[in-house]
Amino acid sequence: MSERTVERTNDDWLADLQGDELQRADAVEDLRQRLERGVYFYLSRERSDLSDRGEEALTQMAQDFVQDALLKILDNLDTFRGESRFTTWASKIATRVAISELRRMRYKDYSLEYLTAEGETMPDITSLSIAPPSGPQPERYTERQDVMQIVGMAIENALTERQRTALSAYVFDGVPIEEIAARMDTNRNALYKLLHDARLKLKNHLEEQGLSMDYVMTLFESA
Amino acid sequence: MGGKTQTKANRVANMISKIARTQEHELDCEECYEHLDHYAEMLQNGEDPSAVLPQVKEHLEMCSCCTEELGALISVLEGQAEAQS
Repeated sequence: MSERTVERTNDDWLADLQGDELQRADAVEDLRQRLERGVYFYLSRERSDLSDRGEEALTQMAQDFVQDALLKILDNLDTFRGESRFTTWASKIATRVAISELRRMRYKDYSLEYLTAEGETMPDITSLSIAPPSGPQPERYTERQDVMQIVGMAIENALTERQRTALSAYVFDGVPIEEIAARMDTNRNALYKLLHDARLKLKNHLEEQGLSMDYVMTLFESA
Repeated sequence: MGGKTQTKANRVANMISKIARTQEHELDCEECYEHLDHYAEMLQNGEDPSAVLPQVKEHLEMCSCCTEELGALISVLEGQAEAQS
């Protein structure tokens, strides 16, 4: 497609993107084409949930994501630390924009309300069977159920309301943390920390029950 | 990734395994993001990023969002390389 694309070093990219109008326009256009190719590739090859969209729709989507990403990239050139190729760093920003937008679209109708409603309790994790008892090690099944019951009790007794809500949405509904964060008036980073605190509490609780973490790991790793 | 849907039971088992592996200190998503380009490039070059960036690896094992983003980034980079060759 773009035969005239020049190979730039990291320094070239930075210089060109901050250069005179012509240099800048050229570099932005090269970067745009490159990122659009990459994002389109991802949308068309990796996202089976988008397979019902035509080529044109995916192209448009890639263009929109990259347009947003370019603004972010140009605004944040001073944060590029040179730990990777410039184009990899720029791709990271474009990827984050694309994924965040796709998550927003996918979960636009999702609500946490049923988890926070008065009197509503967390779905019972012990009611989920993890592996059929006919598996290679049926005795492990009972052991797993026992640990799950302890975890279920700990979730109810040791966690705060917010931790419980976030964990339920994350584990039971499989909602990405940034989407949970948006519904809990916080941000992704803070929500990760909230879930980390919750995991730590649950871990301590399990240890207090005399369970070894190695044992728990082996029980659930292959599940 | 987009197509891989985990069942509820899988996610519960996964969470319990994560609880058992929880560390007192873990990188948060922003700290992980700062290194994600470096990490992805090492993977692309066939190098082992866990030796240089062990905490990033730990975070990725705990955070499905950052893991999804790493997978997507690698795909985006592949798409660029493919079109150029």
